[in-house]
Amino acid sequence: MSLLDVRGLSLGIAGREELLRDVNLTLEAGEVMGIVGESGSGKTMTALALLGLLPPSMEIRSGTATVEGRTVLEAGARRVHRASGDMTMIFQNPRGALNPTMRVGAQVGRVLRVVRGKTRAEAAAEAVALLRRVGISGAERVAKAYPHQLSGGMCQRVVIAMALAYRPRVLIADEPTTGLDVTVQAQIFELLRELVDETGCGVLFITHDLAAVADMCDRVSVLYGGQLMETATTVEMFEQPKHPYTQFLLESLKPEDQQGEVQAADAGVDFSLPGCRFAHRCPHVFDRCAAFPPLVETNDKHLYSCFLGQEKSLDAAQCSRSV
Amino acid sequence: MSAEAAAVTGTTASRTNLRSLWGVVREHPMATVGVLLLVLFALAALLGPLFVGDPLKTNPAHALEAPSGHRLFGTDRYGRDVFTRAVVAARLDLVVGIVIAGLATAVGSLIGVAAGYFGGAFDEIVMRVTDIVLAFPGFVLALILVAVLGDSVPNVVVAVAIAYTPYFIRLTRARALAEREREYVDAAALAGNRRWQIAYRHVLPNSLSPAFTQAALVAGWAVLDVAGLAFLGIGIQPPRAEWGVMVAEGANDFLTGAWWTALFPGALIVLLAMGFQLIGDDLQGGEK
Repeated sequence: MSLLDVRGLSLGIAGREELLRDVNLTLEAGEVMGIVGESGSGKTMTALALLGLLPPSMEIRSGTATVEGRTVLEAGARRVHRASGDMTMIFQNPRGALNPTMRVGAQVGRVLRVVRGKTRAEAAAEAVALLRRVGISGAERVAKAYPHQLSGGMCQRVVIAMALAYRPRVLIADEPTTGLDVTVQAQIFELLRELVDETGCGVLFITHDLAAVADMCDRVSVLYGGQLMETATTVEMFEQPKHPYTQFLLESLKPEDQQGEVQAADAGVDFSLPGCRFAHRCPHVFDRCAAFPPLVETNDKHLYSCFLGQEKSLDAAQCSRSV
Repeated sequence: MSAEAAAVTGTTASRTNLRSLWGVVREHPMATVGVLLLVLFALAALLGPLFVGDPLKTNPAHALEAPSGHRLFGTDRYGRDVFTRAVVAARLDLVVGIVIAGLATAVGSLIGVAAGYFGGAFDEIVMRVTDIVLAFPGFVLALILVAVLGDSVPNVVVAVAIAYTPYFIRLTRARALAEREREYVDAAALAGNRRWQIAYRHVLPNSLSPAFTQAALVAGWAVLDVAGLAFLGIGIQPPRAEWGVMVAEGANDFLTGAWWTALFPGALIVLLAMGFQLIGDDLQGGEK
């Protein structure tokens, strides 16, 4: 049983087309899984859905998610029961994720008191210890500071300390280093890695930065237009990408003169069409792409969602969903 | 750190503070005037009654004496010293203005945050009720309420505060609507806080700044309203020393040439209201 198991997750704005279609993810304990995609590919929506933080206009059409077998998400349910300690999130903008009118030590302490039932005094002492743990020097002083008095990198460390206080089984990190400079970024990555090794939690690492993926992740899932394109170990993803979109994504890392021909300009995904969401940009598009491609497994951990090269490997048992 | 070093940093620190204070004064000249006015009124309210005599003591022999070195503001038709009465009234008027603003801010922001954060039917009801209250001119509403509740200082305070509460509900609600979309609110939800905890611990403190700005203005308006009600003979009653009451009593003497009995308390009402207004205006300008 996987630590986190998301099956067939579909989301949409109530009464309108599906934005996220049939997303499948698994995450093992102690694993960092990258979720890669362009803006609007559904990375953050997936995370918010898992945490029960979807905006009111969004609804879960189908799918389930479990953490260690406990259901955390079901179709139709809006607010999902939050099994304390199962999942928490590190937000994109650390300053925004901290209450501007509360001292940061108190904010870490709040988590300890609410989630872990500590007394005020215990929480205050442990908050300082946690701030020290995430590499903040002068933790006693920083605990008394307000978020606007701290740098972005410091704020992100505080946010990580709050996540630590939570002791989650699954940690979702949504572009945790956007807006931080490269050195701080490296420190935050290192810190996250240490935490995974220490606590054995699983991390969903949401990013659009392929370099960060290569650095951080054991496995990667690629999303485009709300469709899961490919899931593989990081090494396989970079060396043997199966899906045309993944190939296109990796092409973009090469110097410009060596890039193949891909329609770079994104015309925008038409979410009302039933077919593959990359079809309008795909250089290999053919008639079958008008249907939604099932997820195909090439080997143990490598899955992709495309009809290309499936003529020989297509096998009903390997399809997660029939077309 | 040695004692001398500490002393040296101490003086530098105080010098820096003085300089930054001067910077604030230069940047906000009108607010500084407002603060100085309020400080003067506060001192008068706090210490004044210790130095002046009984505001109710009549002296028919010295009725309607013009202002002089001995009686700064002159005397009224009962021979009461206008200066004494004006100083004693400062405490009442200042406190009443501040309490009304504080009450309206507290009640209004508590309701406003709940309406903005929880939304739904509660929000709908609160908004319609504020629409109804705001449909009356505030002063007329306060007048009706005092007429119903009866004349007394607490009733006046409650009535005027009720008339101003909808402003604070609307301001705080609007801000709470914006604040509840911020990430720290989601983070607080993830951290297991209950909805009321999120509303009052996280959203409320971050939704107060427009209400505080408004509070300074409302304190000024409240002073005018209370004095206005007293002038109309509603609320605070003679012979109590209150500026509005004094203006009302003095208005009759005005026709006979005794301008001082109404003018001085009237000027004080204007100055106190202006003090609040100047501060409020400045805060509003700085509101981002």
